[in-house]
Amino acid sequence: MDRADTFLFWLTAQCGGSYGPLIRTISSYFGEQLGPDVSSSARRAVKQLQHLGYISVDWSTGRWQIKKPRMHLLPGGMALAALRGGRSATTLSELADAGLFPKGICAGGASTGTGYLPQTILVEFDDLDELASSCRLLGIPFELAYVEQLASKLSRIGNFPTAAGPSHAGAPVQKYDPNSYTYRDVSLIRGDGLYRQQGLGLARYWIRIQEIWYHTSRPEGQWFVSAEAQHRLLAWVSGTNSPTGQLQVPSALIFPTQHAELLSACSGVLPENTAERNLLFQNIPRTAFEAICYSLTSNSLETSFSRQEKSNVI
Amino acid sequence: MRHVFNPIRQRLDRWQEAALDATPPILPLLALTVVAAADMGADDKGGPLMYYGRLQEILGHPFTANQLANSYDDVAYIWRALHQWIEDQAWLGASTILEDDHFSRIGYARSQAVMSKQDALNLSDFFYKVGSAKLNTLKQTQLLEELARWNRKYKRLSRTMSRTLEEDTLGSGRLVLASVLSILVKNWDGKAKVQQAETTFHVQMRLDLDEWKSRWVVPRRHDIDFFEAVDSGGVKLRLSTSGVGNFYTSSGLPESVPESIDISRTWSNPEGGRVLLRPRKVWIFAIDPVSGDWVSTNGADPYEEMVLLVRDDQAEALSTLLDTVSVQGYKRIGGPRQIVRGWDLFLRVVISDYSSDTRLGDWLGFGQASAEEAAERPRLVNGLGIRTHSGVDVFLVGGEPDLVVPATPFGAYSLSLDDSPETELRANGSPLPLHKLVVPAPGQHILLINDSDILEFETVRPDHNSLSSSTGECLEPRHDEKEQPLASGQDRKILSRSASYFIVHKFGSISEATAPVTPQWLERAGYADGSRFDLSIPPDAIWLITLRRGTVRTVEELLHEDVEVRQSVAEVSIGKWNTLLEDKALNTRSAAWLNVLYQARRTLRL
Repeated sequence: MDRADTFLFWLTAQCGGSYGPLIRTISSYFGEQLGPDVSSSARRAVKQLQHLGYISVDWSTGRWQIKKPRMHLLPGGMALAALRGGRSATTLSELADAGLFPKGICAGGASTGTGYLPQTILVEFDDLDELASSCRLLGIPFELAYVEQLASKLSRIGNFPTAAGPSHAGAPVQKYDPNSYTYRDVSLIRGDGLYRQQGLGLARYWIRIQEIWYHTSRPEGQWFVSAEAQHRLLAWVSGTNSPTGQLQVPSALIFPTQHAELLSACSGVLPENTAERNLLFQNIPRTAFEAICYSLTSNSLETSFSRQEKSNVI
Repeated sequence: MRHVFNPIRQRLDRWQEAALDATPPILPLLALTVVAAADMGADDKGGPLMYYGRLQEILGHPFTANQLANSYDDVAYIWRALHQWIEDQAWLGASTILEDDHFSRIGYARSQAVMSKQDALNLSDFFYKVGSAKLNTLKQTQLLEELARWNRKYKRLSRTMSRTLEEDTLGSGRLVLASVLSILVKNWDGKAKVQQAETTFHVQMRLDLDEWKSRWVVPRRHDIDFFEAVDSGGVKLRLSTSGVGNFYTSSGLPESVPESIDISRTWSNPEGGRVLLRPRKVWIFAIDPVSGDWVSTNGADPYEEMVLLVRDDQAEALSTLLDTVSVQGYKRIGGPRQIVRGWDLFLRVVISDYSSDTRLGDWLGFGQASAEEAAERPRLVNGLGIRTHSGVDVFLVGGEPDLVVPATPFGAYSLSLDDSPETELRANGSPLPLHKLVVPAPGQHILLINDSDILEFETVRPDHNSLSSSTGECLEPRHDEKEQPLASGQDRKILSRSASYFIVHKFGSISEATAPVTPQWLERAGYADGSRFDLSIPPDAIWLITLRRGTVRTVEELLHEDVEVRQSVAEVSIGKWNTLLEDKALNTRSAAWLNVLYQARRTLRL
């Protein structure tokens, strides 16, 4: 049992709480692993815990909550189920006592420096019915088609509410460059695109289309604009006869939480960073890839929808 | 009259020469010095020098307090002699007479004043917290235990009384305390001390970063709803509670922060209550959980995000220092966007460890306004705390808290952990990670800091009953319970990697099911080869045949449907049909399977 597992047991016992104290606890408990910018790293750790399905965060109330333990079958035909959500120190022995074979793998995948994440628990089993009944006995719901269910729930981004634009006073307004994935100060607001204004620890994002402002979030805004500017943001590669493949995406493009949860659920681990500044998600079935494409890129002018259609979506 | 105590010292000398076999003749005097020590500070007017005033009141004329002070070396000598005598008498047990580094002469008497008058006053707060109903039901030992827990949390009792409370349950000091406590309980007037004492409020600064405004506020005390005072110019200040929130509604505080930030002001009332506004060199802010605004505090906790307000001519130096000690992610706002004119704001400052550079500790030490504000005490922060009971914090093993000892002018503090020898450490406000010092096993831990502050915590294993049972009690929002029904598992089979499989389809074709190769990403994540794989069964699959080393082992009917072997479809699988026909256990197979084999043999002319 390492410190990260102990931390998960603590999260489970806590059930939930405020975001601020959680950041502080992570910062102090994993101070040595998180590096110099402890605060940012702790925030990233919370996101990763969210993506791995351990906790949910309600940003409107600033509270987090542990998720109930659940098990789902990994795609790819490896006869492995992944345990997600909270777990106690006795969960693994309870699984073993029920005739299952839990094994821990590194949640960071091949990435280093993720020692603050609890091990992902993969469960080997002899029979699906036995697995389901053992899970039922332990009070852990088993979901055979969890990945497919998550994929089916992804809706197309673009349903942005109208909003007043950025404030003329205060911090400078920045415009997003979808080719370099960076923001640059603009003295004059000109043209459609994604804009942001960084307040005091809080950045606000707007999409501007035909001089109308829409409120958006950072991930959705970036995907919306980037998909319009570039054709191949998502690349899915699979081997011969393999039901799953690797999904490659520029690391500067952040997925919305729902999408990140889906992609992490496919393998139980986080994506790898490649030397080409891409993220590599593993074990992604075609259905999940297609759902993500539909959700994030089908609104693109350059792909399959006309500007008129897109305006209607918005 | 310089040697007031000379006659008693001579009696001591004579007694020592007489082989020390009788009761020491100096006990009456020493008892009176203890009474004087217990009486110190009872009315908030006594400092160390007031000891001699108290002693003079007890001894009466013809001595003066100065005469007593000037000849008190003799008393110190007498105390040391008594200590030595007790140590030499094994039957008396260990001496509880202690030296005091600070009060080198009167410290001996103080060490014997098990309960001071100040302690007795503070006890009324303890009684108030317990409540009269419960107080009357507690036995003496229970009362002492409750008091010890209360004191560990609130640190309200003198060092001597704290030490006595923590001593062995059979200790003589505890017996004395128990008897005195029961008298005090009987005589308690049912009121808390804080209601009787003078009250001092400190004005704090509150920053609203959304509105970009600063203003003065007074933090609310839950035992006082209304307060009035006037300053030297007769300007009235009124504090009152309204609704929820951690601050009083006030009238009379300065309107403009920039114009009053450097001015020291005091409002007072005839009852001795005061409101203080004091300038600071550095303002440290922590977030107020109710309003979400930033409110000034006296110090900073490690890993807690804070905001600093620093004079603009000092801001560059602080900025350089933060960079030097690798504090990252902070944002400095100055120039025309200053929230308080003349002061720069540092946002998102998180300090993890500044032990390597004491200058940062000094900077944060400036955040304390003056000696008038309550001095910070050593405290436990962070850690994987799970609950608090009876004033003792409980943590997970491995998630022990950090100890923070506020920066002191001496720059050092002594620490004894679980009765270990004292260690001297640097006191610059840095957190001391206790998980590196304690044995990783469940238990109770006691820290004695500077021989005066006692902190206690307990650790339990993560598999402790109280934690495991709560796992299922964490409910997610209801919408998560409305998941779609689980898909049926009938279209999937779990198969062994050590076997090979043929799937016989509706019209006589046979496909081979092969185990997927364990992907590299899974191996890199630490998963060794599994022994099974799962197969998605095609809708037209009727039979599943398991083979090992080319020999048919089992035949399983997946679907209760007839196979219609069609030559055009099945002929691509002739080789596999031949393998199936070589089954050496045909006589044990079902009639349905034999019928399939017969069809194939006839249609494909095998």
